Amino acid sequence: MATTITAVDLSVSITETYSLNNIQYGNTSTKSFGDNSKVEQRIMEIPTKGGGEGTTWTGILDLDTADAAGHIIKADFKYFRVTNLDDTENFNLRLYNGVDYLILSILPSASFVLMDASVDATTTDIGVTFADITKIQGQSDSASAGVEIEFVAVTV
Amino acid sequence: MATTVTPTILSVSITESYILNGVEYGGTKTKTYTSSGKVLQRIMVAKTDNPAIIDFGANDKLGQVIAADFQYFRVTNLDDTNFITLMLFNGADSFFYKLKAGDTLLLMDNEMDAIASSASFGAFADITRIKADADTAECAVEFFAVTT
Repeated sequence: MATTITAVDLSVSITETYSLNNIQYGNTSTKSFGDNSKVEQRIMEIPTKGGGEGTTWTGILDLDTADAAGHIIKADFKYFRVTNLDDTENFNLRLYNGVDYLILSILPSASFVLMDASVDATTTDIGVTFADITKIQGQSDSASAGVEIEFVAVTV
Repeated sequence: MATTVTPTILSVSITESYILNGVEYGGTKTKTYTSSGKVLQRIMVAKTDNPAIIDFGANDKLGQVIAADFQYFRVTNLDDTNFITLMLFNGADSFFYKLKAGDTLLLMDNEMDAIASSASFGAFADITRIKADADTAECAVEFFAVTT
């Protein structure tokens, strides 16, 4: 028994188009990720943040040691992108690496991209200890309205 | 006296090309920013002494743009081998990200909170400084910052 999946490359391009005072700025940054054979892509609803600040967090994706429902293999991580599909409400994205949390505000129609899973967070700027992200979670920044998001995660 | 610069539109597109088992995944996501009237684009060398590459503060000045006017920031590691430890600092908390060779990090908002060893959501604060610490040997980086 053998897989029938042929691993392929993922190409990601970020293109900025911006002309100011008759001068073109920005660039196109392209990165190719070789030999990937797994993917999870999903549009899902993220509920409100609950009563207090950060009360309710919804799991989006776990990075673990084996593929399972909502889990991908951390060691095989290549690429992750999440986009806030709401046209009004902000989306709060939380990354957890087993020790530290990072929370970012994602504006309507905005995206956030990870090309590596190694992060660290401290209250100082010394002694960096990278650890792979293990949980990606989110909440609507609104206490009354949820948001929809799209994410895509690619692994080898 | 009045400025002769007319703010314009910045468009940022992320395009993924990925066909697996005959099915196309990924897509193109575009965000448009209006009234973008100032820009800082630079290619510089990040050494191993953790240099700041850009500050966000109250006014435009040497190496600094106005935090309140933030619209978009992108940094790309132009090295073909070594990684950079990128630090985002919001005045209280630091977030570190491994920016490998050829990798890009983009920010479409400048609010962040980072908590070491705690699940509690403190409060968002604007990023005030971004540093790029080359891990092994100096790396060229390109960054692009647009403000209103």
